[in-house]
Amino acid sequence: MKKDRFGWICIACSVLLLAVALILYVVPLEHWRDVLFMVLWLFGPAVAGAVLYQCMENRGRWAQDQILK
Amino acid sequence: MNIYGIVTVASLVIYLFIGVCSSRSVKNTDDFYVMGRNAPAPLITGTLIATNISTVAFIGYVGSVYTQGALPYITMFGATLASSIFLGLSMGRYIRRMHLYTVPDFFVKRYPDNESVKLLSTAIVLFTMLVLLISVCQGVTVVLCGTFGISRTAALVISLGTITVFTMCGGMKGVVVTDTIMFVTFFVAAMLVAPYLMKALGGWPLGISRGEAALPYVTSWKGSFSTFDGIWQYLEVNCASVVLVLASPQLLSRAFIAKSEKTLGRAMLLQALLFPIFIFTLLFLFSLLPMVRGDLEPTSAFIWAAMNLASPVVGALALAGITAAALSSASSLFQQAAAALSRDIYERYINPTADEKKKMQVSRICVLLIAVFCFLGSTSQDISALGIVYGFLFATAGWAAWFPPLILGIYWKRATTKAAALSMAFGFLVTIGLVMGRTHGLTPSWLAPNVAGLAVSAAVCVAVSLATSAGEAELAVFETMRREDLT
Repeated sequence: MKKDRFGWICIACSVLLLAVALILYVVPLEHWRDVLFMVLWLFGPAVAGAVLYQCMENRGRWAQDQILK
Repeated sequence: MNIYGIVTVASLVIYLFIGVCSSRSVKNTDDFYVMGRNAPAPLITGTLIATNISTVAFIGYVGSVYTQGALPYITMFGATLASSIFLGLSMGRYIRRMHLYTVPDFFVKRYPDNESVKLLSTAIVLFTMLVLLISVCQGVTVVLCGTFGISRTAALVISLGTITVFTMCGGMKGVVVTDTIMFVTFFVAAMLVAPYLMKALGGWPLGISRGEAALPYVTSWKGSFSTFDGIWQYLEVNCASVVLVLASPQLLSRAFIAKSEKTLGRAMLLQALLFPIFIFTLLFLFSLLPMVRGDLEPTSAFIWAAMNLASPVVGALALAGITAAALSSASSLFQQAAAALSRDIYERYINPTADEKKKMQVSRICVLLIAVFCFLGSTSQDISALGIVYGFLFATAGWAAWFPPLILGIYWKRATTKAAALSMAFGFLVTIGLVMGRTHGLTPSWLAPNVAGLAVSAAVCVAVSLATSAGEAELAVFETMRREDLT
């Protein structure tokens, strides 16, 4: 079966995006704490979601098409 | 006609063309309501973001961050994304397994044989969708009239006409495909305007550090709110976001159309990747706009920046983008309101034995009825930008009433039908009361109807569930949702 790399790609992209957002919006600031929190709050779910997705993938937690008749 | 008008009209023609083309694959009500349950992840992502971003974002939020700072508004999108991940990786799988067409279908199946639950869920869906539709249509007219100088009636005819045609023809597929194209349009538009705005601010990183010095509230968590109001603002908008993602018909219905549970998970991940780029760029940069020009009417901040800071081509794309954002939300609401009329009222109460052909006819007639209602509702009154945001908050308050029976119905075996009916009724009554109180200044402005409605509904649902016991039919549905071998 073909290996699904979607989760890994998303982990890489989400970490990269988070880093770019930190550089663009947090680094230039003197009072950066509130903005840092907001960047993490906004870009963090993608990182967490991608890790969770990959964990589910590794454990085979996806059911096939399941419809309640 | 100038370049702004030409690009916007061209984009409307493209949406119409694609919407009508997608109608060729609509053969039955499954296709019309839920796209044959065969939607791939990118389309689900596109329609979710397009539905979520409307004139509320481009007019309401951009205007608000212009005067109050970005962080108290950006926070709500973190809640949106966290809820979306939860929906995609956990809750969505149970919802998909129930083979639903509309959100009231969930209540009818999970809490069987109860007229109160049926009636209450139908009343909530109709009431909230119509209020939100009118406020979103008002937003569309604000955009079209303000940008192109056309009359309110002409703006309504153009926007409602476009949406009605592709929703009538293509049903859910027409809406989802056009939504995705609209999402690409406004995403690209916002990304193209951002560098011009940054340049006007003084370039990166100078513009941001200068903005921090000139407008200190921009980097504060509470913006220009007081600490007390800031806390309530966070509570209200985050609560609204969670309810919107997990309980609003127009967003939750996207879980019904996914090809598989994995597809839904992927769609939510893509959303979590793309949405923050758009939101942070749009809202954070526009909170610094007062440094460029501080005397703008807040609601026209985006339109002003597009027409005055960007090149004409980018500005034209930006205006097409804002029109796309307005239309995409309206079309999703249209589709869901029409589905509520046809599925939850016609098929459930008027003619339960209707054949496929009749159901299709009625579904299309319902789209037309909704269009007429919106036209009449939007022409007969004037509404401010604040009214548009209030319409949105009122609708989320209505969904907060059915949020606890929805979530507990999925995750808690002991949730009972009686508890669902009572929690919906009490939650909705509290919500309506507080919305009226807030509108007429009778209740404190910080007392958010959605937070109060959610709290009351949750308390009633838990208390009554503990006091009563679930019947065999309720337990059977709960167990069936958990079976992974259903095909």
